[in-house]
Amino acid sequence: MATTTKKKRRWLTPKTAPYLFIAPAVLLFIIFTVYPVISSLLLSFQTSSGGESEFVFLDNYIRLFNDPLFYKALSNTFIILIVQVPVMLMLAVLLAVLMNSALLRLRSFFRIAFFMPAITALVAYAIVFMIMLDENYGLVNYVLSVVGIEPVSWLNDPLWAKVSLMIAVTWRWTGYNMVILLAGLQNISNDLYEAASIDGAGKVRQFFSITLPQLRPILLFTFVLSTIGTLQLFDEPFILTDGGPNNATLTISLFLYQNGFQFFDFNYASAIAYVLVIIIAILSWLQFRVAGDRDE
Amino acid sequence: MKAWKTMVAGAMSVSVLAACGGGDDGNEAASGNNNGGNTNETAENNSGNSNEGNSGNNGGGEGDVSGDITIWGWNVAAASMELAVEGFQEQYPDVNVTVEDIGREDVYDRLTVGLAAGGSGLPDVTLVETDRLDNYAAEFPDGFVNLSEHGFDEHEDKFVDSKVEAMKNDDGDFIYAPWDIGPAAVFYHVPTFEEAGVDPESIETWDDYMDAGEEILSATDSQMVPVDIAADDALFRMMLNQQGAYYFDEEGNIDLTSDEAVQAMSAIQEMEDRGLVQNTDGWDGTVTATVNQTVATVPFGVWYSGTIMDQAPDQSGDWGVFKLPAFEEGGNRNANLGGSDLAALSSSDNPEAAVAFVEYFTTDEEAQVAALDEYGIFPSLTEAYENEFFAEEDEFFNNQPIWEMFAEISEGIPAANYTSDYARAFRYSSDAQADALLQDTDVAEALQTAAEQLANETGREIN
Repeated sequence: MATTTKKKRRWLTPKTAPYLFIAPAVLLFIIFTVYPVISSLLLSFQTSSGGESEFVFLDNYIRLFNDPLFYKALSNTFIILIVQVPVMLMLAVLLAVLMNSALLRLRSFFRIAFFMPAITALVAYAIVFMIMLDENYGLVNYVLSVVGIEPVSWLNDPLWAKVSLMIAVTWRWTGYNMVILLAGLQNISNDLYEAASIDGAGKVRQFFSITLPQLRPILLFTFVLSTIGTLQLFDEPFILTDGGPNNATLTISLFLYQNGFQFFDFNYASAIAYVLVIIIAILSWLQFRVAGDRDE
Repeated sequence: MKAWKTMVAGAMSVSVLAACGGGDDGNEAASGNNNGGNTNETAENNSGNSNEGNSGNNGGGEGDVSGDITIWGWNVAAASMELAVEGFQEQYPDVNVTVEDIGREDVYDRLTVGLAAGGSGLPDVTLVETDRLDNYAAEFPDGFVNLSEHGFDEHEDKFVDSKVEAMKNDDGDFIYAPWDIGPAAVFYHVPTFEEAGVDPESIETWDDYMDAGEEILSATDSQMVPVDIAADDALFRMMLNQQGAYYFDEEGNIDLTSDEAVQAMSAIQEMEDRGLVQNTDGWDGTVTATVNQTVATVPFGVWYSGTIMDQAPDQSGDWGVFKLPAFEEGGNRNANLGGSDLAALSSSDNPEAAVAFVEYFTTDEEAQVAALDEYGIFPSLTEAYENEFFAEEDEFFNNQPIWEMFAEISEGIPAANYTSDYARAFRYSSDAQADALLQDTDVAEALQTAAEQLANETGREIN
């Protein structure tokens, strides 16, 4: 009897209680994150055929680094990253400043309108884009033809297909970044602007000398977030172009999906996933180094 | 000791949570939604999607096979199987059949994931397109019931020859049961041909076809042929197949650099150069071009007849069909595009019932003719071709006896070896097509690049 009471007391002491509370989350994390992470790492060191797996150590990685399609996917992804992310963030900053302006009426309407794309169902939006961009029957080419411009092969030309993707991604994520930046703007003390105007600084000068520097940590945050998002870009190329024409819009994630789920090469797909993780880690680290808080 | 207990307590709380969430996942019936914008090549495409309610099941009756079975399919294919349930239950009254109409891509995604997970959350019977069969059989050799062990071999002679080989594994056993076949021909718009004064009967070779295309283009502004250049090489595959070639030869070596392949792709490039190709975006683009007659012909599988009837009911009598042109006069004009088959999954709780349905459905003449009559799904069961339905002239298709013609084509189709690397080959071949047509790369060079890429990834030899 004595021992059981003792045990019972031990079960729920203030010391053990916190562990019990976090246990469900930790266990789910282990099952759905840690286990797949380790399991896919092991997968990436194997090859399988006919249901039997064989340990081949680095073969998948060697094959990956000799695969021209991998480099194609990599360069496509980086072209989109380098062109699209800065354009989108500039737009987002501009919009955020406009939204923050005291002159604007119907402010919450505009905020919601710009944020809507981020929460629109992905497939629905991609299909709408697909219909609008159709070469022969699309709305966009119809409008262009009315103005007298030759129809553009939006989804079937290597260059324009990339442009279409960038437009779609920008449409979807600008508002999202705008909201984050807007929150940052509202944390900038008004005193700074007052002091600046007393010193005779104009609006433009204020923007470059106060707004941008003050926004730096938020900008860095959105920049890192957008970079990771672009590196993992999948839905838009999957639905709009399926990586075509001739792999001009093949992104790393799409390349991974095709190998895993269309060609059933889960081992190779796992190797791609690990290389992608390493690329993201290196880039994020670089961004923090270059743009991070220098005061620390 | 303490740490151990904490772990157990944690595990228990999780299992309680999991139990609360409980339930069966991944088995909900979805309503038919197809056309993710990709290429679709079976009759299953028609967006018309009537779905008969499940006919009443009667529990009583004899028969040693019993149980519940679930079947996955999509669109009209699912509907066709639904039609056959009643006839099946006359023979097997104790089997309850549920046909689930799931989107085409969803069937594949779920099938892949379920098989990779060792057979969980799967149906008893599933529909698979012919060109994907080897892919699944090679990757998941234990995933499907060996139909030969259940006596399917006795049906071997009942099907079109070219179809049978694709159903078997390396040991020559039936893993799949053949269902529909896609005899290919050229659908043409009769008024457009009349306006340009072109006689479809006179088109015997691809050269004739291109000359006719030019006449039509100058007389009517309609282009000759729709091609989804960047995403689908259907025309190329039909041309390969009619010449007895394909992506791979019988030994499984890469055959993309063959003379036949170069000849086929060069012909398509020439069509593009002469302004006869309309670059259509995906399936919807092709259908729109057809319905609006911005193209005068569409070379496709028999299943396209259902799409035209469904999408342009007011154009009855305006469409006709002629056989694929040959590469030289008197050459082979028979080819296949698409087709699908049934497989029973070994994870099934009622494999006997699953096999019974597969066998009944694929070998029953009535079930097959009903699927053709109602939904335009063309059987590979040659017995069915004797049915009077085939002799009928079709009002929609300019009163031509088109079914008889497609039956004739079916029996002359050369066999093709799809192999377990079909998906990759399809990809690189479409890339080569985009290269040759959009960037004017030399055909031989584009095909060589595709072949090398394929060899690099699959370890197969290039011929």
